[in-house]
Amino acid sequence: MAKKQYDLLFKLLLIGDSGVGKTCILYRFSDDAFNTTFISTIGIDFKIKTIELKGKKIKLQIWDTAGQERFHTITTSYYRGAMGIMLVYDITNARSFENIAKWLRNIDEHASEDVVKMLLGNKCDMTDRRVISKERGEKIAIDHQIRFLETSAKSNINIDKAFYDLAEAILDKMPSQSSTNSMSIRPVEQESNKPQGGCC
Amino acid sequence: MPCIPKAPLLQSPNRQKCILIDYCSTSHPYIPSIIIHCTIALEREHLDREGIYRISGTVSAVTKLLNSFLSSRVIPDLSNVPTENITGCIKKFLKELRDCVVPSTSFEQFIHAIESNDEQQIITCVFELPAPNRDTLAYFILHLQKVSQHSSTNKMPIENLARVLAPTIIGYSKRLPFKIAEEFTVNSNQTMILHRLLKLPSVRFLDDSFF
Repeated sequence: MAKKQYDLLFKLLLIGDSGVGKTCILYRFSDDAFNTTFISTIGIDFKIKTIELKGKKIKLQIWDTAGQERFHTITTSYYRGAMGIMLVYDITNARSFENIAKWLRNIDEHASEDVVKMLLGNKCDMTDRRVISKERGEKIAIDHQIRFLETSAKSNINIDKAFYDLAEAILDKMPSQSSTNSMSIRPVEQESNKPQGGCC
Repeated sequence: MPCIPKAPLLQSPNRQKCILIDYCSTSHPYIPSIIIHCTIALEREHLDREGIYRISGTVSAVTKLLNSFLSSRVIPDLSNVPTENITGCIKKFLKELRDCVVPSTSFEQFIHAIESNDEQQIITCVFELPAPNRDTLAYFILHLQKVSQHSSTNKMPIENLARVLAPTIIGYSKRLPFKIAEEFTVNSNQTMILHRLLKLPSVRFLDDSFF
């Protein structure tokens, strides 16, 4: 059997308004770097990082999209293959929060139905310029039944957690594969409708 | 505020299909009044706003503002409108034109001129555009140059303005089926064109032949 460097490949997508910090989140996660230059992304770009989760090597292919409206025809074509989508807003920019509904509609229209979504309120280090409270972020996430975290790419708050949580949620959703590994603990599945056991 | 002639309101129910000249007055200069009103408002008190033209406005508010410009005889009051909604209104207006300010048919010609690195040839390309496109482009480039002069506060030097606005301003002919990789090259070329235009000395656009 061909030896692979990883067990699973997850495709993730970062979306959200211009200037909310999508590229910075990605750079913090992939290179542990932060750059204050304020340069727009053209079209689409991606980074790869392999993580370990529940004994599996998971290669994350993370697509970073341009927030500019004019690029939407390109960027929406990437929604289809995504297994996880991070929707980012900026806690210091009310309009980026108000546009969440529009981004969620985009996901509904272009992404596959079972995509795992996560909402990130970025720039949470900028307490003096905050206009969106954490509670408002939590509320909209509950309303749409999606995961939520406040992050700061600059201060490296919750960045790793966001990616690990999203990857874990995708992993949990996958049909359990017949592998040599023992079953991992999955608290969501209280009632097991399919008795597991025996070899296949 | 100078007197800005307004074009007659359009009767066409399908506004998305209109071309630039439909929004221009019947006399020189051929620049849509919405562009003039919005840029004047921006230049009055918004040039230091961080991320001007990059940060998005609220989608619903931008749509409403654009509609009130295009379907009402009264000019909307922009004095309390956030920067992002004004820039969003300009971008949405330009995006919904049937063709871009630099029409798709001129794409190759501009690329060719820029690759030759001959300033005169680039200017000739601009001059050869239809009058509304030429006037609007020259006017808008001058405005963006003013925006970039404030880049120490607004963080929008011409490189960034070119990235953000190129797909809105520079058209190209889409041959179907297009490939994503191809589209990416086109995007880089669009950015290159706008970047080069923004680097031209302002005086080039203040020529008597313009406006």
